[in-house]
Amino acid sequence: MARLDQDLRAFAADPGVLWGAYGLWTTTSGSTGNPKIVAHDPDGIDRFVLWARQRFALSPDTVSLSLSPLNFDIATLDVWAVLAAGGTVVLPAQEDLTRGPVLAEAARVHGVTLVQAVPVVLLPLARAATALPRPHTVISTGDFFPTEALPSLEAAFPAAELLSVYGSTETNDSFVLDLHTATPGALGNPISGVQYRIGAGGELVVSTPFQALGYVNAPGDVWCTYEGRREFHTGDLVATGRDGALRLVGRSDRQVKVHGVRVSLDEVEAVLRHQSGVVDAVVTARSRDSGDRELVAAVLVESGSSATNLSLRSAAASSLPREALPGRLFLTTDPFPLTGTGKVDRNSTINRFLERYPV
Amino acid sequence: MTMTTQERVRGHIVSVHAPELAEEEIPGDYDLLINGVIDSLALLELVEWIQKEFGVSAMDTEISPTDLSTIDSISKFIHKNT
Repeated sequence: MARLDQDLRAFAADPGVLWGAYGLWTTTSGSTGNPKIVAHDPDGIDRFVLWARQRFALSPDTVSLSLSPLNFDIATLDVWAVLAAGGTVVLPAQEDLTRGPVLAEAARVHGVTLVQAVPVVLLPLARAATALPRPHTVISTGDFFPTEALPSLEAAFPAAELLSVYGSTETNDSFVLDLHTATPGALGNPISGVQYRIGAGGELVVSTPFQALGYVNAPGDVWCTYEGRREFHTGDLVATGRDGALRLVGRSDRQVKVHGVRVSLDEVEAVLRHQSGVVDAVVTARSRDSGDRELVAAVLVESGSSATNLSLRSAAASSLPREALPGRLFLTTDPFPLTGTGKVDRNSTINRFLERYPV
Repeated sequence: MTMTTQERVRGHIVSVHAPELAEEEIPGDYDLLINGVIDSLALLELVEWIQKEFGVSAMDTEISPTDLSTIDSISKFIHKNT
């Protein structure tokens, strides 16, 4: 283990020198750019597995339904920690991950006790399942669980603890939230050993016992040492509520300036999503030749919806400042493409439309 | 059969600034500026196009953004100055 650890540290410092290095690497989702390859710390993985085994009472009786690719850090819990405890992992076929009824049937047939998934996979499974008695732990991860969908989870998993975990691939799970008490944006409580602070601009900065050594294919400027502690700059913007609880308010890379005015891309998405007939919306910013930026939106509408491009523009204009209005807006009834980890691939969604409708 | 000014303006806006609107008929009174179809940069392009296409001289004419905020007002502006 010492050798492996040394190799990985050397590799993280200079990936070019150690072609034969081995260890656990996972990738970030790439929902806002190219996926980064994260080289994990073997000792950190050990600590994470130990935490997961205790926290979720993993044992040889545990049966986990793995609903994420193995190169996603989610697998450290629902595959590797479960196997380390002598449990069983059920691996549905990749093409079934979007088929709620197939997943619900797999959970029933195999007597699954632990389910962890991103909301976009977890929800169709929950909606298709009828009161599964076996699961005692259900974890939403990777994205915010829509609190209004909690009744579906409660009905599908009546005996389960329902949790949402927050963490970055770089740090692994950092905060755990009981979904029964969840309010939108809430992060929950830090896992034992996790330290955090709110840095410049409201950015959440964390240090966890599980954190990685660094990136294999990207600069490490998101890692800094503060008061002797190595910390990861999450890029997530948080605020503290009156009760002291942390709440996520956005991504630092989702805040852009248009005509010198700060615009939150997430807020524009939220406005579009709330319009009647709209299923989902993604918004990105692109630079223009003039040096300024413009917002580009893609809106997924229900087929047969009365929402039109012009009506959505008007709706956005009535609740957003002019700088936050998408200059280009595309309407579609085809589901958005997803990244390998089940998040909407914003860049490829928008780029497809820009290519289809060039100006 | 000749295109009306409205049709020409609509066609130009759709082809140059918003091809994604080709399937929707932009109403003549739809506010292009307030609803973000046209921004300040596009407005400049539009003025240039009007000058070239309809022989309106910007030098001789005072243009305010409200003259160019809808397809109807753009058409009215063109008629008034040609």
